[in-house]
Amino acid sequence: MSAQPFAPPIGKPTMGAHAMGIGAMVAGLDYFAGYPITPQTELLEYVAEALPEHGGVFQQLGDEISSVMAVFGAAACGKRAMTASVGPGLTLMIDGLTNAAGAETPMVLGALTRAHVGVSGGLYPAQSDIRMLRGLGNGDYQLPLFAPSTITETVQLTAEAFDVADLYSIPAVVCIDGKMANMIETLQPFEVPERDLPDKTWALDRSLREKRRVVGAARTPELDTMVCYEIQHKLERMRVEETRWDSFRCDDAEFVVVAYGIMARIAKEAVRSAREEGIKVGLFRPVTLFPFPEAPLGELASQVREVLTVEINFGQVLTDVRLAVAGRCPVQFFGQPALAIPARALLEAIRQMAAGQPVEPRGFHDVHPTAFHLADTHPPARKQMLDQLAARRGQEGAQAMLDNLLGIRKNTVIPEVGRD
Amino acid sequence: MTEPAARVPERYTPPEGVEARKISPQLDVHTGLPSSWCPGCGHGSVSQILCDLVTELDLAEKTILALGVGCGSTIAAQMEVNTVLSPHGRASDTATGVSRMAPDRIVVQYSGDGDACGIGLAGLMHACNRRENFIVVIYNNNAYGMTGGQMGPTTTKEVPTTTFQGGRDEEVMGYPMDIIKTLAHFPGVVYAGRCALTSGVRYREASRMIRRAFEIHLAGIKGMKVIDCLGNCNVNWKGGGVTFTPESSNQFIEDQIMKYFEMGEATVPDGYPPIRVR
Repeated sequence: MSAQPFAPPIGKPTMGAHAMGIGAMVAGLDYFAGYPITPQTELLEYVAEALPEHGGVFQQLGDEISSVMAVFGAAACGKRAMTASVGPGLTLMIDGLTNAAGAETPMVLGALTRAHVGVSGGLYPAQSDIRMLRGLGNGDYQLPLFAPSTITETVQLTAEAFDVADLYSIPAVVCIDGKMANMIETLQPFEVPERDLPDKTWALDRSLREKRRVVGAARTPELDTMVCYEIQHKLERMRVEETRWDSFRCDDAEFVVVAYGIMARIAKEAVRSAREEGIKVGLFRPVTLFPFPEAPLGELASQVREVLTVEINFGQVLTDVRLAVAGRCPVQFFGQPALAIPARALLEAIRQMAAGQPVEPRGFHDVHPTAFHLADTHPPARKQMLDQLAARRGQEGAQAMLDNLLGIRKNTVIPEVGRD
Repeated sequence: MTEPAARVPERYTPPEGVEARKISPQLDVHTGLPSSWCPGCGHGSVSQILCDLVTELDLAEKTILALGVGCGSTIAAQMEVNTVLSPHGRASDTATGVSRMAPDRIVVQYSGDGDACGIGLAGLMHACNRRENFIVVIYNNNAYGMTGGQMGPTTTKEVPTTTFQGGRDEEVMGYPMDIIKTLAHFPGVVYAGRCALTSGVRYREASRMIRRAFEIHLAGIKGMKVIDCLGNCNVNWKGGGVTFTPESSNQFIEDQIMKYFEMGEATVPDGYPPIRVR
């Protein structure tokens, strides 16, 4: 189908969202369907241009559900198909993913995450959808979930995700946060290991004369139960063969920071600084969040004094870290719901941990030190606001309105999580 | 693509006592398995029409069934062609992906009225809007049959359902949707029509209409071909203590339901003589 071979732009500045598209093109993408959502739009635009040039089909469908189902249809024909979305869109795509997992159809989902709860929470980047991405949809299954932390790794892991999906006949997920999606880095040379992939004998476009192909249907209840076992068997195989992690200065470490994705590269800086101060700290980075590198982290935990999990959420991988550590040493958590934790704040947390103290959590004011209700705290700003309102509503009306607004705000208590 | 109608071979009739499959060059897609549909249900008729047609036109290898969820999905057990099953309401979307990636195949979406006009309406309308290239056969029985006869988007005021026992409450639920009227005006729809499965005559009309959709597709005319087949749900039209037999339910369609729905073809490509319906 391919018109001309695709060459990744090695050595060129590359955006994180584009990197997913590049990875897919490297893997020989045939079909992409999506629906625009920030910050996935750059990926959509990239694929829209690159894919038809190389003989594939790009479609922008009515919504995320349609997109993921069309990708399922394309994948059912044995083609390499991908979709991508963000928070609220991923929620909709779960419908198709659980179906594709049950129908044992390989496809790839690009997940770009931001700090939404529903649609509240703003456009800030965050790692807040990890829990959802690992336990997507109805049914007892999980999907391989890759969390790259550089642009080059995003390209490489997206390309590899197609192979993993094909190998296990299951949808694979690649997850980067909104910050990485908009980040630009030089694309380094990379390698996608050759794998011995199974022939897609189940694909719909094969001849009926050999055998009838049915994707995702017409099973007896007994066969359906068997599928549940098959999926679990696959997950077990993945745990053995696909678990990946990376570590930095863990050999002689007394303390370990566990971080993934964008947070891992920030943590690396903090670890370097802490080492300069003489704190023996290392970084453990899970590359696959499912399967989680439980054994290596557990082994490491038996050699260190303490583990600090750092995430841009309130602890969605913390459970796995605790299970992996299994009581061998204390586990602390350091996180915030959005944006990224600065390296200096993490360094402070590492110092606290090394001093044997509980790590002080990140509160609202730490995340947004200036962007608080200006009118509450800043008298000139309050006066300016009052004057503006008075011009339209009169003095009394303005005062009443402002009091009302502030009253509402006063009732909105912003809790400092874990601070007391 | 080959020409329509004229070049289509007549069905080969083997001598008595000889099994068709063995001497015919065609693949017979009838599985011959007992169906799980209720006695008198029109799904059996549509299934028969589709199986006959695909076998007759020797399209077994070219046809891919895209199914949603509903009573209609068990057509997979009657019709032996490559099949994909999608969740409830997502057949149009799945068919989109399949037809885009296998453009030389004939993708047939077989859905119920709940699947196509309820939960899957957005997908179906967008597929029509995008001028996807597949055939949609809707079995419109005015109810959610698989779940036991609840009211659906196409249910008319007269049909007794379990959720609206006295019939559709127009105050709360509005009016029955005419899916053919809704879709026929899309430039991406090249063939749209409604038939019914209430009698032998109607069966022949339905058979001709579905055949026409295939012929148009085979003639290489790109676009959606949508056929709405009115049929009964004699077992599950049971709200308010009303009971039906297959015969009375078919009569009920003729008398009560058809007045809401325009029968016959709504959109036909140029050069195709109209199929007459009663």
